[in-house]
Amino acid sequence: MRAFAQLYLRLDATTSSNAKLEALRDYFAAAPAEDAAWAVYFLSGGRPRQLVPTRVLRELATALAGLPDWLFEESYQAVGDLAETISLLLPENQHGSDDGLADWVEGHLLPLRGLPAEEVQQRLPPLWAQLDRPSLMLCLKLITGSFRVGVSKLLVTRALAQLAGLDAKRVAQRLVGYTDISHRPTADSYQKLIAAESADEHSQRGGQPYPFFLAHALQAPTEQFDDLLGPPAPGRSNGSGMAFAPRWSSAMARCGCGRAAKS
Amino acid sequence: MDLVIARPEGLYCPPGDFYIDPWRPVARAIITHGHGDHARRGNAHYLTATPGAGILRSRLGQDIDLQTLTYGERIRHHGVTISLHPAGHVLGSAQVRLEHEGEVWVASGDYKVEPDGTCDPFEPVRCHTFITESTFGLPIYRWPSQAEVFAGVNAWWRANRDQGKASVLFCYAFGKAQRILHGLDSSIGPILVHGAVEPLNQVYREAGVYLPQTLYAGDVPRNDPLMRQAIVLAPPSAAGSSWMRRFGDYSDAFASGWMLLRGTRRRRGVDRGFVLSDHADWPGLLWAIEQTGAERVMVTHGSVNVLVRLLNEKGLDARAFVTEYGEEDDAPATEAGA
Repeated sequence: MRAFAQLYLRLDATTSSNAKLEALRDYFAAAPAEDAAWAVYFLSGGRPRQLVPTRVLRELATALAGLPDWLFEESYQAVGDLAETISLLLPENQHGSDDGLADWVEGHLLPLRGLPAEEVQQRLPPLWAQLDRPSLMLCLKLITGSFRVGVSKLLVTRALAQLAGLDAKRVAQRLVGYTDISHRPTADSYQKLIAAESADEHSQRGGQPYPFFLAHALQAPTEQFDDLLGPPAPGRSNGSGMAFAPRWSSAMARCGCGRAAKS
Repeated sequence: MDLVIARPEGLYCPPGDFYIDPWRPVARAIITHGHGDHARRGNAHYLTATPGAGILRSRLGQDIDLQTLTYGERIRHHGVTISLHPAGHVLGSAQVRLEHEGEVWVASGDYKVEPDGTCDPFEPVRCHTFITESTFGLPIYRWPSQAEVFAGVNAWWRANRDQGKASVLFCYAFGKAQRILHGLDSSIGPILVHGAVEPLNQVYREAGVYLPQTLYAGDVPRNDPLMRQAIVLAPPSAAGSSWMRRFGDYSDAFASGWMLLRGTRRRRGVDRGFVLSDHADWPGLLWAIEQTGAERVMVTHGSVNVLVRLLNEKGLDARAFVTEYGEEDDAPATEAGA
């Protein structure tokens, strides 16, 4: 958690894309695959469904900070972000937990969803007590679903591509569907993102389209489409509507279709 | 009887017939400290703490009619006993203690409770009524230790130097700049200052405060390789001005208590924000108020309503004073041109 919090601080502390790219590369080079998997997920815009109702969080934080409700409200008005407000109001801890991001997300945070309020209020304080202020703010942002930092998906793609020595377009293609709400990042799915280019790359991707955006429709005669786009993957025209049949291609190009095929 | 009331000219002491930090010209003014919103021109007679005399003269003019008191020294004026006590805010900052017929009031001006080595540390003064600021009067404001902040500043400077970039640190020219200078590790590289900062450094040095050697940024020729290793202290008004061009590719930062919030840091549009304030944080305010033992508290500027409400809930008699304090000390007219 601490390593990811440090990455967040580095990304937040600069407006330079190069500095951000460097911070991302440093993080991914050092992070264990299971943590990197979640980092890619959050940095490229993925967020799990809300884990704890806002009301429960507020009540708990107000009680832990020993403040009257109105003073919590005044503080929130001044800060403007619930996660940051709570991180500034809770008692400060000096030692950040060294447990990895994946341990935190899978072991502590995701299981909170759907628990009764009393149970959540029992579980959270000892968790928070393990986190220094930057890690605490990050943890709260993951809980409230308000994690955002000035990094584009494109930048994450470039960082991974540089690290793995791949074409950024290939990484972008592999990332399609990665932040899907139904997808749960794992060490394995991260390894697949940065795996060396293989001969059967296309079949590994299944029916995933290229995440490309053409400014206008493909004007080539229909007969040339097969040559231009490559043959459709065998056995993948499974009714998902995403097969590369010639008569669909120009329509797809026009709408910049980047939706992942659910298989 | 109220020893201090709010009048259109400023905070007024009726039995003593004088003002404290008036914002309109009056006959007699006690000045708590030299920041622009507390020390204004045009008053006939000034009274301030001895260590603040140099500052006041350099800002208001050498020819002002100025009387000084050392900390703790007492004088009587129209039956009111006046003494000044350190407020820990900037060089020469003072709390004003007034005593009249057994009643004691303390007007604290601006204050900070953590000692910083560039001015006498805050001293709680027992009183019946305490007049306090509340610039950072919300529980979200808790300052990191100074050692931590200076470690951050020095690390940022060192990293920029290693990349061949100047480090421009924006900070208020009086007080904050000298405090930062006091905490910089001068072995990292040369320290350059804006023209608004250097005269105040001079006053601090004359008052016996240790500041590392500084160069006036205007004296360093453009493209001098020195620039790429230097840290530059400049007032916030210099940001975006043509004065900045001489530094080429630089990293910038802003030092202020407001930098604690991510939103304010981002709106400022600088690379880094360092949380360093010369005001008390929330625990500091509450501690200072408690130490005075006062049953009545008058709140002047900042999060006035919040502090008044909280103190009333704690059983004190707290009220608001409407003042014109609290504009940050960054008047472009006095600082950008110099």
